[in-house]
Amino acid sequence: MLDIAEVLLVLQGSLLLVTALGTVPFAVVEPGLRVATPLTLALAVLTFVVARGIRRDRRWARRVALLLEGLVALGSALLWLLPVGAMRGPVPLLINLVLPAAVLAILLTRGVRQRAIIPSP
Amino acid sequence: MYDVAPEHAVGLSAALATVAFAAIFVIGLRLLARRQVRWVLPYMAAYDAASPMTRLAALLMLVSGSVHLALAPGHTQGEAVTRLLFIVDGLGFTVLSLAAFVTTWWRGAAALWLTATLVAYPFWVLAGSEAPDQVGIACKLIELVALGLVLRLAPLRRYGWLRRSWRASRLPLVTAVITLGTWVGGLAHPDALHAHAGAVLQPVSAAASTEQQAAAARLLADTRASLVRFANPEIAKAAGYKPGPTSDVEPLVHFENKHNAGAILDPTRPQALVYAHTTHGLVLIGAMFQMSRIGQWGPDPGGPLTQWHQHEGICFSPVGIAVSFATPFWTCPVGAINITTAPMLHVWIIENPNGPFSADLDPKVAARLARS
Repeated sequence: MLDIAEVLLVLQGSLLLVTALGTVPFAVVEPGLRVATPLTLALAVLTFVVARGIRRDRRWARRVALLLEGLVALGSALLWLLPVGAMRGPVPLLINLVLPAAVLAILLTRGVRQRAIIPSP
Repeated sequence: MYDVAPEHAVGLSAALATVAFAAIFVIGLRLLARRQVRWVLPYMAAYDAASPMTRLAALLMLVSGSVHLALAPGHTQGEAVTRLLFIVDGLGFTVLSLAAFVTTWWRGAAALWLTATLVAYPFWVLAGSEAPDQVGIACKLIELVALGLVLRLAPLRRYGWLRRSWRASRLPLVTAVITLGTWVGGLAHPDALHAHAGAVLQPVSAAASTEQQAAAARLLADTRASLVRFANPEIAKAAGYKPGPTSDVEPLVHFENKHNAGAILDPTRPQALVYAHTTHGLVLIGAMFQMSRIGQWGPDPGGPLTQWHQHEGICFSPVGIAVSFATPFWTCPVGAINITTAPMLHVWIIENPNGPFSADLDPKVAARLARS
């Protein structure tokens, strides 16, 4: 099951990477994005590192993944409630709610949690 | 910018129905296996022996296949090639999803099939043969997850750093090709209801009647007469209009009045005034009427002449007020949220080659204003 979480994390990291790259042209003219772009890039790298940690069965990686996905799911749920049209259609639902919820569900399944109790090598 | 195309909505139904059907199918097979029905036993044993990754990859390929097959009949006039490819793709995915449980060769074939389908999409969009919409993009997301699972199923061996790097970068590379290709293609070939990136136009009739032309002229004249009093921005501020964020991209600034939120296309109470930054201060160039709810189109007395628009997929960052466009996967940079605005109608009281009710001010006019 952890392999599935790893794949989903790599996909999320890939999407963040492309988002950061796609923001570069806007950052040329929008000063505010000059901070957001490297931050997005850093988050993408962190997601890849966490995915690698999950593959190697590291406990810290599971904790960071739980924190990241929990924040994304919570933030998305809040955005859903706001009347700003942030979650219109199946794509934002899949990206912002289903993907993080799937990773959370995997990391919180009994088998995975029991593995997490055993200290990492 | 990326909606659910009405003719593609059937794809969503097909995806949900396939998941339900697959669950019922497996439950049915398991019941038959418990009753020791002989022909079912080897299939059930193969399913039980498969890893969760294999099962999920098979399900996702089956979903993608059903979406392609459901969309094929919708591609009729002049889209025979697309229809044929959809049918071939759908059947291929269906066969591969079943092969995952009964063959050993399926993984390589699935990786090839998924990669080919994924990479073909942005090329199809770039060629203008397919408009990117949420059903297509959601389908690509499903295929990306399936591809990631199929690639991950490869046996782990000791490879050199070059091969390891290639294996690690395959999924990010395909994701980048899909996203950037679809993004560029969507911007290069907007459909009839997308004026420019992020703006969705109100559906209207093709030509304006005489009455509609007169109504549009009346709205322009009434708005012009009403705006005279706000030529001085200080008077606008005193009347309750507050300057909104400014952007380095264009010299325009919107002064918004929240007290006018309930007014509907009332020339005496526009929701916003549009000023242009010039070398000699702010110059009033128009008004903006806005509805109070997303998706609630306003009255269009001028028919196609007074067409409302709403902005979708805009990444808005309250930190430093920065704006960019969301990717086709609706992702925004850190600190920004993806927003959709309520429908709006601009009335330009200066000469605008795009028309007095156009969604945009002509860039040349905007540049000339900034220099004046």
